[in-house]
Amino acid sequence: MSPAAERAFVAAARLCAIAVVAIAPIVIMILLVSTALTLLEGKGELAVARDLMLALFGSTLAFGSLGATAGTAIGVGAALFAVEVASPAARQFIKALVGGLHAVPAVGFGLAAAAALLFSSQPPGGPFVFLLATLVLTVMIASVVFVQMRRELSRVPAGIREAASAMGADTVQVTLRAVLPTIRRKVAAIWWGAFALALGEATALSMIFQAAKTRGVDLGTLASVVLRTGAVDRGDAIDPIVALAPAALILLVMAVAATVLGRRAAGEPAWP
Amino acid sequence: MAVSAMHAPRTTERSGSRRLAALLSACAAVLCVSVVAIIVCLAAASIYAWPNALHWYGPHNVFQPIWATLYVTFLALPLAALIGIPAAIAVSDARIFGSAVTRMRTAIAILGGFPTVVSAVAAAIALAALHQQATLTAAAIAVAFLNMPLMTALATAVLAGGTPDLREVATALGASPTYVVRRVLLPGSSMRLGAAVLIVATQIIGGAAAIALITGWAPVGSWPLAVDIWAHGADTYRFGESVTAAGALILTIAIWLLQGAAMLRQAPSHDAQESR
Repeated sequence: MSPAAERAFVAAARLCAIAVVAIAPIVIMILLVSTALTLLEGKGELAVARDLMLALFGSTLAFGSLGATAGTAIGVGAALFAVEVASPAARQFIKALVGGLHAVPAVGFGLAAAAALLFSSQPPGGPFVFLLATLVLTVMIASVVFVQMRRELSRVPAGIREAASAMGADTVQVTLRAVLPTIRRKVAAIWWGAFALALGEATALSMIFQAAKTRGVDLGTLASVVLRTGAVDRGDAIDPIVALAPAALILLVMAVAATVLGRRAAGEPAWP
Repeated sequence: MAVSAMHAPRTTERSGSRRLAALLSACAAVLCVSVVAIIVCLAAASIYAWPNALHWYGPHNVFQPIWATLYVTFLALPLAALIGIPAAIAVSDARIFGSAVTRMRTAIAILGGFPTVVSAVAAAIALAALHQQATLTAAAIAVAFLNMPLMTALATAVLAGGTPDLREVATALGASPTYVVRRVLLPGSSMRLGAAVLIVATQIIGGAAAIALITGWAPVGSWPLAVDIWAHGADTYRFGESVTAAGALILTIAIWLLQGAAMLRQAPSHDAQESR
């Protein structure tokens, strides 16, 4: 390849990388300017009222922390069982089924949960909707954690397991006393990644909360309200979507804080 | 360390091990039961829907949404790959960005933490500010940009994990970045790059939030399958017709097949790396 073509290739690759990285400042700038326009100049009404925003902030944190914690616990436990404890036949069976769960799109989770709310004989109460939404979020997160955890377990040197087995430990002891301590920081990173993922989950939760609303229960998170409020016919008007910027900005700050804290606490987190 | 603290198991430890094994197996059982429950629920709900869903001229057929899904995927995926893979090449070779390469990788990782709805709101504001019509084509282009960080991260992992020794040797012998990409990286990792592209395809096919927010529910003809299901999932009339459940089942099978194809493409490296 000629030097000119070589330079052109390097310049093109560099330009592509800059284009990808530039998405972050562009998104932040758009949201900051829109928030400033909405709050300072009163260009439009807030799409999500101030008092409601505080409640949504709390419910987003509650759903996020519960979903991430329960999802990480179940995902880690399932991966440890499938990879370290189960027989080869059981391992393949679990991997195939959880692979199937990983393939279910968010709308599939949302539809199945919405059906439980829409067609229940008695009107569901608030705690039932809260539990159902947390359960859906937990299972969604757990399927992602299972895949990440399997990847981390495959990187544990075989010598650690061999050394533990040679000292007389059974498979469960090898798992809990030798394998798990070596990936403790990775598990912490997986939790932070799961938390960031849970904060931003909108599709399935918005379907559940919409179904609950038809049965008289009003719940929501920042992401689900942003999605449900933004996905309406706006025509040519710009104000309705600009008015969503403050809520989107708060959600962005929460998600980025989770990602950054995860990196500081546990090194580079795995891609969700 | 932890390994050295072990000793031969006593009886109480054995029963403790059994309890812990039962706990771990319960975790796996929760996930296995969940997938079976969801699939059975969707299959049962859609059992009478297939004639309506597969009726070519029916008002609720799935062909229009499938066509819209294919349209968005075939528009967004090449664009995401065309920019995402060269970007991955740039951030995986320290000679292209020099000392800034670590910051570039960090930025891409943080960008991966951006919730889809947040980026989609920003894209919708940008489109509205530019007085662009909210069409499916515009949404597909925006979806391509939203999936570029994922494409870049997956491709970077493939390029970094493939043949690091060969790459180091080639670099030490004075090979240029282009030569390393053409002769060392791509021949060894083209299959796994294909798998990364398939994984991004599953994200585009299964994603509803971005397109719903960007188009703002403007009349754009037919909606992609995921958006159609999202919009009508809480609608008792449509759910009563069960067409949404049939659509969700089709979508799940499509994503499952694509993920299977991606896993087959990754198989050679997995065999070597992950025998478990």
